[in-house]
Amino acid sequence: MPITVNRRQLLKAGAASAAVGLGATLSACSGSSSAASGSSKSLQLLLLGPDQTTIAWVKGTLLPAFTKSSGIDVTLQTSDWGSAFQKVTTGAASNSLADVFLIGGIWNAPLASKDVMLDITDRVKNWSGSQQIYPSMLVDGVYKGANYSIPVYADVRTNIGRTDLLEKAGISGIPHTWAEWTTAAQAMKAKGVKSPIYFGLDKSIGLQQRFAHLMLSAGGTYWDASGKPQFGSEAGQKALQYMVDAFQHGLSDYNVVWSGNGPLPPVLGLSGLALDGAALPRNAEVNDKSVLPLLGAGHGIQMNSSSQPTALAFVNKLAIAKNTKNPDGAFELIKFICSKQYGGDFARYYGGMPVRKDLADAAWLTGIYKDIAATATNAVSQPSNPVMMSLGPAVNQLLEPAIRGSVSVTATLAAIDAKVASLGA
Amino acid sequence: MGRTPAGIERRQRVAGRWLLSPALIVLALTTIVPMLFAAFLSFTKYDLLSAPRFVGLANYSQLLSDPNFGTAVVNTLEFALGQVVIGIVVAFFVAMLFNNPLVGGGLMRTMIYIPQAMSYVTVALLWSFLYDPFVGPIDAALRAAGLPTVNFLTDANIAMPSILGMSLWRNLGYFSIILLAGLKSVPGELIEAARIDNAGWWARTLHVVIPSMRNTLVFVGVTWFMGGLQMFTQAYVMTQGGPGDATRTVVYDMYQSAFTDLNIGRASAIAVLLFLVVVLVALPARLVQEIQSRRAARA
Repeated sequence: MPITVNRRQLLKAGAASAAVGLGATLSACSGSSSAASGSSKSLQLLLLGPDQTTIAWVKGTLLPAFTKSSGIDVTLQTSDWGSAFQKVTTGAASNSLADVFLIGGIWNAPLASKDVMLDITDRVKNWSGSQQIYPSMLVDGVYKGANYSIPVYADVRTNIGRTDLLEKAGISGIPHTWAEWTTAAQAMKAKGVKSPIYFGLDKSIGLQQRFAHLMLSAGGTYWDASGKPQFGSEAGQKALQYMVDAFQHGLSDYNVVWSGNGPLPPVLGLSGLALDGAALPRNAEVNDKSVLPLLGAGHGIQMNSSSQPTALAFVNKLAIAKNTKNPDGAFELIKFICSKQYGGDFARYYGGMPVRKDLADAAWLTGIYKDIAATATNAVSQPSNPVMMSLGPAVNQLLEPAIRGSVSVTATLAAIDAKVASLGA
Repeated sequence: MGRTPAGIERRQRVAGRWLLSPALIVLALTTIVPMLFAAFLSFTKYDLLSAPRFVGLANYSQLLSDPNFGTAVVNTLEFALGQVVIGIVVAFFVAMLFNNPLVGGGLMRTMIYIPQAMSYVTVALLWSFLYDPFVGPIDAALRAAGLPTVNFLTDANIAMPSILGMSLWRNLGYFSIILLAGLKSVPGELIEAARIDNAGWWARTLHVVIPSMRNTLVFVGVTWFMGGLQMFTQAYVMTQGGPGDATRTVVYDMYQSAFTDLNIGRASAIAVLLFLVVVLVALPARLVQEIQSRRAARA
């Protein structure tokens, strides 16, 4: 029998489907929160920038072991570093942020100031494992006296050299002071090395990070006690002048820029000196294993022979979402990942250094990795400040004309101070 | 009264509106409401994570006095205009070429269209490799020819033209095909008449073909220009706006304001200004097209 639909029925059906569509759209717009809707027996973990090997280890070993010991299921989410801050902030804004998430070295203050992370001060106090974490790194997770995140691995950067290129230039050992770097760079240049010093130029904020490293090694600070930017200070002047001189005298080439993929300039043999961390030997392992034994690490860059060796640490940390439904389970997961048993492997898979004192002699820390790890104890970090996320790109952008010689050192530092002040630190 | 022709027409109109309403509601929710919300946010200080605070026109006045934004505007206009001017000329001649019988013409049309099927991210990554001054094939070819290395993406004077070149390569096929369709619609008798009048190739193209394709050319120009105004992926993937601010565009500035600085108010103000510029470009072009269509209909 044929089905007939009159106009009224058709209109009713149209209105009903419109209502259903509207409901579905509104429901989608409101966002679903893992934290809000998740069961207390399940958690979501957001890791940033893991490679496939790391993901396989996390899924195959780490998380099953945690589930077995705690009875809590964990779902893994991953994101690349490039858009990670955006994902964390939009996730927090839509109340859909994972219960536990990895944060970058300078993210603690920007996120804590926005109330994205759970205050875990009491939990940290009551956790004996926190005493094994290097104090200088543990403090990296503190904002206004409260703990918001726990260090899980560190990218510790020190002075690294290509021993073969240095030896060819008649330099033995790894140069440590700025003057030694200049001498070694001149000698390498004479032997045809294109850009003897690699100041970390990439498509991100590598240049700013190396400038910060030099400035901190000269005893500089970002802000004085009153919060006034100090990039134009004597330390800032010396650091930037040193960099600019290197570029202007051909000891560093601003066209040697790492694209983010493939071999780094020191691995390619374009550079013989760099301020870098485990990422450099890891890059050699992946792209040209023959370079790995040729890399040597020093104990930290020094402005002169009487100044302190300085290694710069970017301490990546784990934090708990403010709106998690399972804060206890979330902290258990962090403790588990940061434990002696798994913390070392986590750092190794991530190409970083362990942050626990009792992992300083981990079996896998050999060769250059051991030398880099040795600098972790006294490594300094960039200051914790809510404007750090904006500061990096802004300073990097202002440094670019300086190394090209189109803006003077003094004018550049004045512009940086003005820009940083405008960020409202 | 319901059975009169006017009544039937009115009922049909009402039914049509009801049937359209689900689509209109979805369109409103996904396009109009977000646009209005963005306009509202442009008058606020908002960081995504706390309530917006009304600041009046502060975001706009700060933008208009910000030299960085000015640089982004200039870069964007350079890119968009460069893309349209060079792109239309090249795409037009490619279309002219394809308008003739060619051996393997179909294959060539397909090949020139393929880049359009690739995402901008893929194309940008591919060209980052091609442009690499140390491991890229272009540099290898230059060196083999005894020419110096060109720092395509690290030289502040060359970075934007390099991105422009990549974008042209990616979009050329699409716009060539549209222009080819326009060429096919030029009446053959007009060209034939011009030929009988001893008009050469150049004269025929200038005085017959181009005027006949005015609507297509305007469409291609406006579409390409508006796409250029929204350039982001290339700068994000290939240069991150650098070196310095040489490839920093308006949309890149908007992205950085929103997701690095968490300054949603400023980002929304940029979005509103960009929207107004796009409207200002698109409306007159549409108006000209409309007037010409009416004139043609009258003739």
